[in-house]
Amino acid sequence: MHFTHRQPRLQLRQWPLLPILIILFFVNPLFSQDSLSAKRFYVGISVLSGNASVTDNYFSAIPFTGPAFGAAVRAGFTQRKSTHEISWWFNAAHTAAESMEGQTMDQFFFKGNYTYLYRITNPKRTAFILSAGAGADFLEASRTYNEFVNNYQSYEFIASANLVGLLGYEIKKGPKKLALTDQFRLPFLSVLKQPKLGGTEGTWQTGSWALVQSISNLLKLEKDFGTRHRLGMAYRLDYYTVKTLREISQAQHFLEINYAYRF
Amino acid sequence: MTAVIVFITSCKKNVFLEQPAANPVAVFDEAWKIMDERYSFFVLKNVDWKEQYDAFRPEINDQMTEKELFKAISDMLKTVHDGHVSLISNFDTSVYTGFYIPYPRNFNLINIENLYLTDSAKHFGPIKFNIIDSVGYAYYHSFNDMISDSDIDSLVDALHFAKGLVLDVRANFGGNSNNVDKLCRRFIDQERIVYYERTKTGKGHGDFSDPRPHSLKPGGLPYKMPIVLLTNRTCYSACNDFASFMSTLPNVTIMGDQTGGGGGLPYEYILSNGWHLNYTGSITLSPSLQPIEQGVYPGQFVFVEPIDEIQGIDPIVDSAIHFLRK
Repeated sequence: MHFTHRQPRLQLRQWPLLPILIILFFVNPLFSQDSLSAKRFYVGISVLSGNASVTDNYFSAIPFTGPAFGAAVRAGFTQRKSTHEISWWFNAAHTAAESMEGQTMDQFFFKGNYTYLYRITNPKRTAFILSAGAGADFLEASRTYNEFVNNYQSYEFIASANLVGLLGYEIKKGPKKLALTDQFRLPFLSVLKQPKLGGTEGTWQTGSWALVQSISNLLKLEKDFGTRHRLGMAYRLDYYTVKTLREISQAQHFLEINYAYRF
Repeated sequence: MTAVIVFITSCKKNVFLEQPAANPVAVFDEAWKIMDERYSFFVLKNVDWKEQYDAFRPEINDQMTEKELFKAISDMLKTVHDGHVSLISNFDTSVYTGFYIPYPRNFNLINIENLYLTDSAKHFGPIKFNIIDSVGYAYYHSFNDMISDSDIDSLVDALHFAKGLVLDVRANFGGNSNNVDKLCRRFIDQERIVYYERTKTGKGHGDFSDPRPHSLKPGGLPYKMPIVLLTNRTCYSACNDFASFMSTLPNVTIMGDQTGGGGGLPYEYILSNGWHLNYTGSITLSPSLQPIEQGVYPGQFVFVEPIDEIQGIDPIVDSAIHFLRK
């Protein structure tokens, strides 16, 4: 067994890229058609690159951290003041115990959600975007550790009902606009499935904030190409902690490249 | 926009997963807490774990060395008298050996090889076998050594004209329970419960699930002739499970000394300083729902005295052969 180094805190390797988003915001305004009053369907796809950090207290309080790669697809429908969207994203991560050599964990993560948002602020009176709504999501994380005595595969399935909010700011120039938005989700009711201690057989639990605490953010910046194509970047942050006998905490951070097609 | 960036940045302290504290006091408390919440035999062994904390905690301070901390935690862990409880660092390993070290060995492999596993002995996978006075003698050293169905077929075939089987699992510290299952399947002619298991359902010392049965179906033609199973204190863990199940079969007699115990599944936890803490996290019960952590008793106690070892004989094997020849 080797001890390498100890880090006081996990460093997010993508943080240096965040200023790029800010520069893009101020230097290279991205305008899109104002289509608030139009009814439009859209579909999109994204590639994700980032990292995952997992503390599975059943095995250790030491976080397992490593690179993660994945993809996301989404489809939605927008009206004058409301949006419906369903999306799925998944990633695979190869992680290692921080400060210890040789302890690794592979994880497959999948999350799907539905979101309904209603725009509260009036776009004709203010540049601020404030939307609120609700959503539902479900996720499954499945992990395999390389060396633990009687190591059964660890997994959890969580389905949650969420409050959803969206904050943003837009700059209008004629019929075009620039919009940068951040969507966040807070679950208030969750159903959880985890393996029982000492086995793989699942057991169900239901609870509110006391059982699953979670926050999910998506910061997006997009540019239109023509009237149908849209390319963009996004920063995705997804965190949850499960307060059970098999206490789990997980933080994932991704930079995304998005493409969307509007019908 | 600025608000969004500030919001995400401010989440850093809460969102990013931090390394746990790894100073001696924190590591000691962590080891004590993991045992407190997960170890399965506090009630059965009547161990007051809080009392152990009070006894050892005053020795712990952040100025102590790694080796001093290791010794303190090891000493505390040994108070549960459990061979599945161990502490492993990069400089030392601490395991409780009190289930066999203070007791007579009742086994000498050199004598066994000289007397019973001579040049005529056969090897069926990890099982060494010979016919002695028309009785089959088979020695299985470790349930970690994988046994195949064809190995067992060969063993059963070799017993075709034998009056019975002496199955020696002394000095077998356990291993893979799949090997226990494979072997047990050849000794049953109908589905049987091998053991029950209770797992923890909460952090309390008495929080356990109801017993869940682990049953087996027969595998191949069952061997129904008389069997004498030889055990001693170093028959531990999976070997202990095997002895517990075999003791319930009508054609099986156990001889030698009692087994060492180890009636629960071991689990592993990595402490915040990287040391590995192994602990028992479940309770295994015999088919008659009795805990087997304290060992399985033989039907006939037979011992190997020091003078027997010097003379190169093994009264336990001799008694078993004599028993089967009668």
